[in-house]
This record gives sequence, structure tokens and C-alpha cells, in this order.
Amino acid sequence: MISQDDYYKILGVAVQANTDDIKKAYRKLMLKYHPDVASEPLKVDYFEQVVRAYKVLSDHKKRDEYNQSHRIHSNIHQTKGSKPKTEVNQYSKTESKRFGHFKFNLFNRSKSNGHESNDDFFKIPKEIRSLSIDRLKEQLLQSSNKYVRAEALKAIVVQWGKQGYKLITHGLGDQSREVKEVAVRAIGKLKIRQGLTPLIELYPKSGPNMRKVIIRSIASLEIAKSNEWLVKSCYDSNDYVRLEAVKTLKKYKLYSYLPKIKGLAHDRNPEINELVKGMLKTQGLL
Amino acid sequence: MEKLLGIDLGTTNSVIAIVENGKAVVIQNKRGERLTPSVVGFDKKGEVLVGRAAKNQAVLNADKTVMSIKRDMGQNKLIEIGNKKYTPQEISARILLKLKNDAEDFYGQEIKKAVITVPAYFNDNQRQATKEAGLIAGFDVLRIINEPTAAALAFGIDQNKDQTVLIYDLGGGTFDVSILDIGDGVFEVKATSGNNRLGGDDFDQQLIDLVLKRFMESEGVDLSSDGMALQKLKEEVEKVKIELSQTDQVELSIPFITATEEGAKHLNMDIKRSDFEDLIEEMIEETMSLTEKTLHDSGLSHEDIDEVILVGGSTRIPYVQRQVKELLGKEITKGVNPDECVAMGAAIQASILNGDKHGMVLVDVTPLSMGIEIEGGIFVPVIERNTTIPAKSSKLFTTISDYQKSVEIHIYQGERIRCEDNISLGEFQLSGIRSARKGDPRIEVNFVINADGILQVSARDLDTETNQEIIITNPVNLSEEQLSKIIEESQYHNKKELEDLEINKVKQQFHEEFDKLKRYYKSYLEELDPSLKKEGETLIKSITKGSGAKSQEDYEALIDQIEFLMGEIKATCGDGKEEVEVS
Repeated sequence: MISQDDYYKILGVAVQANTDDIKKAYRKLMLKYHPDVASEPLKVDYFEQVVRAYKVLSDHKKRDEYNQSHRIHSNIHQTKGSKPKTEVNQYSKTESKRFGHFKFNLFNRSKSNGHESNDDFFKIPKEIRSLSIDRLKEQLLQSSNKYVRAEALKAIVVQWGKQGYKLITHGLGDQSREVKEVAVRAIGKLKIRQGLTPLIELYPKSGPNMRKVIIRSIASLEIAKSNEWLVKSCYDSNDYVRLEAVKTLKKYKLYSYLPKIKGLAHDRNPEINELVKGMLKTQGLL
Repeated sequence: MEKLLGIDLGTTNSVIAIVENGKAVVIQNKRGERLTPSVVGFDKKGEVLVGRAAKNQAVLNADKTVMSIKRDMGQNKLIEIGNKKYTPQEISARILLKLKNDAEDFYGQEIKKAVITVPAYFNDNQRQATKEAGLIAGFDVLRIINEPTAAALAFGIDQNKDQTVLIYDLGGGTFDVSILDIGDGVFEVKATSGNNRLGGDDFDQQLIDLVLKRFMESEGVDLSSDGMALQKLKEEVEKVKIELSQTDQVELSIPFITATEEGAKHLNMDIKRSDFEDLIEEMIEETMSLTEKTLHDSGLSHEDIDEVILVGGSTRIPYVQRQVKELLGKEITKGVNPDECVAMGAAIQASILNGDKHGMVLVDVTPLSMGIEIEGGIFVPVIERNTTIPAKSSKLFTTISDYQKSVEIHIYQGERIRCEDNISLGEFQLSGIRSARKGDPRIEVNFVINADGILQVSARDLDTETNQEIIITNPVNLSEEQLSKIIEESQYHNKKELEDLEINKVKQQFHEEFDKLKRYYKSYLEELDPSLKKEGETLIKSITKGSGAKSQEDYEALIDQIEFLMGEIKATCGDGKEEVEVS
């Protein structure tokens, strides 16, 4: 049997085949196996594989990605056994969705990429945008599903802005990381200055990833108190959090605070070290 | 060879076609028309009129005339006529039955199998309702197919080249846009979209509103509650709309549309093409953005489209043509009949499915996402829109509370995030879930759509292997039993009504002939020879006393007698005075 994810074999084309060859091969299979015309139609499972293979191989971008993940070079024949299975298994536990699961991938993404911009983060579907504030409030306060709560809070932030302050600070106290993150980012995005104290209180109770998010939010408040706090966070015990703090300091060009972090020029993390030295140099402090 | 019917069951008009010697041809109805109005009327005697006959009496019988029934398909609503209630399927079935009879008349043989078209954007309930209408009319429905796809089949069948076509289908009640890749006999739909409530009917309504407003301004009379005036206006406005495609200005004139204390009121006003264009601008704009969305969904750009095909009567509007041309930067493909190509495509698909036509296949997509409800009333698609069918997909879900024993699987169709905004297709329960903390059980929900578009959903607890499934074939809240009862009953009704219709026709003929005979007899009395005089007298007396005729045959026998006698009279007094009128 042909392996489920060997798209070239499924369509019966060579890896060097051009788009026209692929289309021709696909059409031949359709004429032969589509249930409307076939005397012995393919089972839905196989039919679906043919369609999937075609959808990927007929699209340049998707084909490139597929080739890369399967280590296929269109001019080199690859032996089948050496192909690693990198495709995500649809049935794996990591993809498991809850009844009540919502935008799971979104949070996965933000976990792996702490630098996702707030603009992307607060992108919400049109359908949610049209919901009433009351409905969203209800979702945020009553849903037992953290993703629903998180998404509702996002929508509140987008629709209501600063007016949603109370709900946002309420979100800081949510038990789930996802909702907390929305609240933390919202305070930065909307420049809610009253949010500074709750954020500072949340900081020591949070894990490294959340601390990074808090740093960015606090920095974007751009008030003296927040800047002073940022300098303190440059001495966080976690290497990555520290790095984030220093980077943020640089991003907001808070060079007047440089003397206070001079010591980091000898940090154990070489990246921080370089960064601080670089800043000191350009400011003529070194 | 067996005849297979292709039916375009339209909002305003319906068309039938058949493949003959490999070519799809449109069949005329009994009146010799290629388009049959999709109108059903119930006259005072309780007779059912369909098509032109129904449309002609619509003004005088507005509340017992059903128009645009297609817009109600798939809804659980009943249409009340007199003291009887009909489902939309039953009304549609009347139209289908007439089309069936017309086709059978044309070929002099029974026609059972048919392919019926629906707007591509019809949801599952609307498709099922259409299929039911077909069954009620006595058809073996081979398939329900999408109108733009059918149009593409009719267009592409003679073309021997690879091409990408965009079908812009704006009919009486619905709008669809589809993009297909055609070549080597394979017609593959890449993406489709639409709006089930946007079409020529809405343009008419806009015009009616405009006229009502102007009439109110100039005459101070509100016509909006006058059913008969509105029906008349509806008819006239449709004509105005059609004329405006040819000329820049049309004079709308409806004498004596109503009356007040001051006497009769007449409606006279000029309607400019630009007025009309202003009225429909917003709606056409919506079709444009749907077209763009479909292009985007298909992963193609304007330049990739080789042919732009316009389908549906509303695409005759110059403004529509201009907008499409502008959006796609391409001339409209000529030589496609916008009224007929859908029925022709349906006929072609019928012969493909019946195995009469080889080397061709239609590969369609599901127009709307299908999925299930999760906590918070949120919709999670399991099969996304524009997925090639047949298709199969599964997703894993879990429980929301500790030691939850069962889950409700509620199936929806649509693109909205909240389930309540989507269409419910059915539900079932999976129980016997492994006792565990929330979030632990793994429940696989599996969707399969076959080529017929029938959806089968199953759910399985991966740990305990318990499973449950549902086949969504009848989402219009009808059980198999109810459905077969409806079919049986309506076939009986249809048959009985047809018989009654025949008897009535013969009865009427008999009365006409009899009246004629009496007039003849009277006018020629002086000239008649005694034996004929006697014969006439006897016949007339016996009929006047009561003929005792009941069946069709009885009446036909009487007509024969009358005709014979008249022939005799004519022969003896034959001076061609047939038109003699005697009071």
C-alpha cells in the first residue's frame, strides 16, 4: 500500500513533475475513480487522499513546504525509508480540542513566539466583533471554558477599549494563563496607566513567559514609574526574561537609565552582554 | 432510450432539458414556452393551476397564488391556501409535476429520472427539501446539483481546451458565484459562494417601493395595503425592469390602479434607467464582494480567469454586466443562454450519472462548512467550506466537566462563529464515556459526505470504543415514514386532481357544444326536415332533463351525439352560417 503521505506516489507522478503533469494525472484519477462515474469507486478515504495530494502538489507554495518537510528535492530521488514523518498527525493528543475549545492554535503560537505583535494578537473574527458587550461580558464571567473567556475578553478590548478596564483587571485575576495574557497585553495596548500596579503585583507570581509579556506591556505605558520598574526587571533571575527587559529598554530608547544597568555588560548571558555593551558604546558611556 | 430530465427549478421561471443524441436541448411546455413561470395558483373551484395559467390569474387571485416558493424551501413553514396548508416542498412539487407532465407529453413516454438544480449556496436543508419536492412529484431524483456548476457543464461540454471559468449567476431570487477548472472532461469546482436572498425579485421590490413612494407623494394615496394593486404593480414593474435593459426610460402606466372619494386614480410615471441603477447598486455591490471572496478562496487572481459566464435573467441588466466586466477586467463570454444553460447542464449531468455519457465527470465542493457545537454555543467546523466532495474529516474533542458521562453532538452548517447563527442539521448523544477528569477523554467526531452530498456523522470515545452515528438525510423534521406518507398522499392527490382536471375540461366542452346545438337547432328550425327535427328535439330534451353523465366517457359519448347531430343539420341546411348567433 502507498503511504498516506506520499503525495507523489498517490497521484502517480514523479517528484520532478510539473504542474500540468500533476493536473493531468489528477484528472485521470478523477475520471477513473470518482464515485459518479467509476464502476468500482474509490473509498472516501482514498478519494480524500487523492484530493489532498492534488491540493498540495498543485499549489507552488504548499508543494515547496511539503517537499521541504519531506526532504524532497525535485531533482533528487529520495528513498522512501529515509523520509521523516514531520506532518502533524491530526489525531495526536496535542491537537485535541475541548468541547469548548477555542482558537487553540492562537495561544500555541503566542507561547512559541513571544514577539507576536499586539495587532495580530487582538485580531478577532468579524462574527465576534458583532456580538453585544453584554453577551461578551457573560461569556467572560461565566464560561467555564478558558478559551471562550480569553476570546471574549479580546473582543471586549477591541470593541470597548479603555472602558473595559474593570473587566480587563478582572481578567488579570483569571485562573487561566490564556485569559491573563489577554488582560496583560490589553493594558499595554490601551496604555491603561492604572494597570501598572496590578501588573507589578502579578509579575512575581508569574512564569517566565508571562513575565516577558508583562515587561512589554509595562514598557508601553511609557511613564516614569513604568520605566523605573523596567530597569528593575532587567535584573530578573531568568536569562530570557532579562534579555527581554534589556531589549525592551533599547526599543523604547531609555538610554538615560543605562548607568543603572551598566553591570549587565558582564552578564552571564552573552546576548545581554553584547546588547548592553553596544548601547553603552553608542551613548559614549563605554 | 430512457429519457432523463434536467430541471432548472427557478425562483421565477423553470426550464427543462433533455439530452438527445448527445446534445442537451430545452423542451417547450404545452403552451410552447421554453420558460415555465414557477407560479402555483388555486382557483375558486379548487383546481390547481401551474405556470403561465397561474401567473395570468395572479392579480385577481392574489391570496391564492404562490410565487417565488423557492425562497421558502428548507424552512419549517406552511403556506395557507384557503383552509389547507402546504409545505414549500408540496408547492414546489406542483411545479415539478407540471414540468414532468409537459416533458412526458412532448415525448409521449413516461419520464422518471431527473437531475434538479439548486443555488450553489443552498444549505443542506434546502437541498433536502428540493429533493423531497422531486420525490413528491414522482421523480427518481438522480442528484441535486448546483446551478452554476450545471451552467459550466453546458458551456464546457463542447470545448476542447483547458480553462478556468467564473460563473456569475444572478437569478430571480438567488445569487451564486463559482469558479471551475475545466479540462480533459473533468469539471472541477475550485470555490463557490453566494447569497440565497438576492435576485431579481428584490430589484422588483425596490422598484415597487419607489413607485409607491412617488405615488404617495403625487396622489397622497398609499397603495401598500392594497393587495390587488400591489399584484398588478408587481407585474408591471417586472416589465419595466426588463424594458430598462433596452431603453433609458420607460413610462409606467397603470390606469385605474385604485380609487378614492374623488374617483379613480391612475398611475403614470417615468422611470429612468439611472433610477433603477441607484436602487440596485448596493445589492450588486454585494455580489461583487462575494465574487472577490470566491476568487480569494480559490487561490486565483483576476488574470487566471479565462472565461466569464453570466447566468440567470438578472444578468441581462446592463449595469450588472458593466460591473462584472469592470471587476474582472474581462469581456463577458458570448453565446451562453443565461436562461437555459442551467437546465441543459442538469440534463448532461443526468446522462453522466446514468452512465450514458462517458469521459466526463463533475467534481463539486461543499459550499458551507459543517461542524459541531462546543461549549459556549461556539461552532467548530469539521469539514471546511469549498472542500471537494466526497470528503471525510475528523477532529478530537473532550469533556468539560469531571466524570461527564455523555456528550451532545449537535451538527451545524454555516460560516458564523455562533451556532445559533448557523443552520442546525441534527443532533445525537454519545454516552458511555470513560469516567475521567474533564479534558481527559478523547472523543473523535468523524464527518463523511458522499457524492450525493449526504452527511454522515459519527462520534467515538477512543478509550472505550463506544460509538454512535447519525445520517443526515432528512433534516426538515420529517421522518422516513412521514415522508413516504406525504409522497403517497400527494401522488394520490395529484392523480385525482389530474383526473378531475380532465373531466372538467370535457364537461366544459360538452356544455359549449350543447349550447351551440341549441342555438343551431333554434335558428334552423324552419328549414329542418321532420326526422331531423324530431331527433334534435329528443336529444335536447333528454339532455336538459338530465343526461345522467358522470364519467369522462359519458360526456365524451354525449359530445359525439351532439357533434353528429350538428353535422347533420349543417349538411341539410349547409350555408356556412356557423357563426349565427341567436339570443
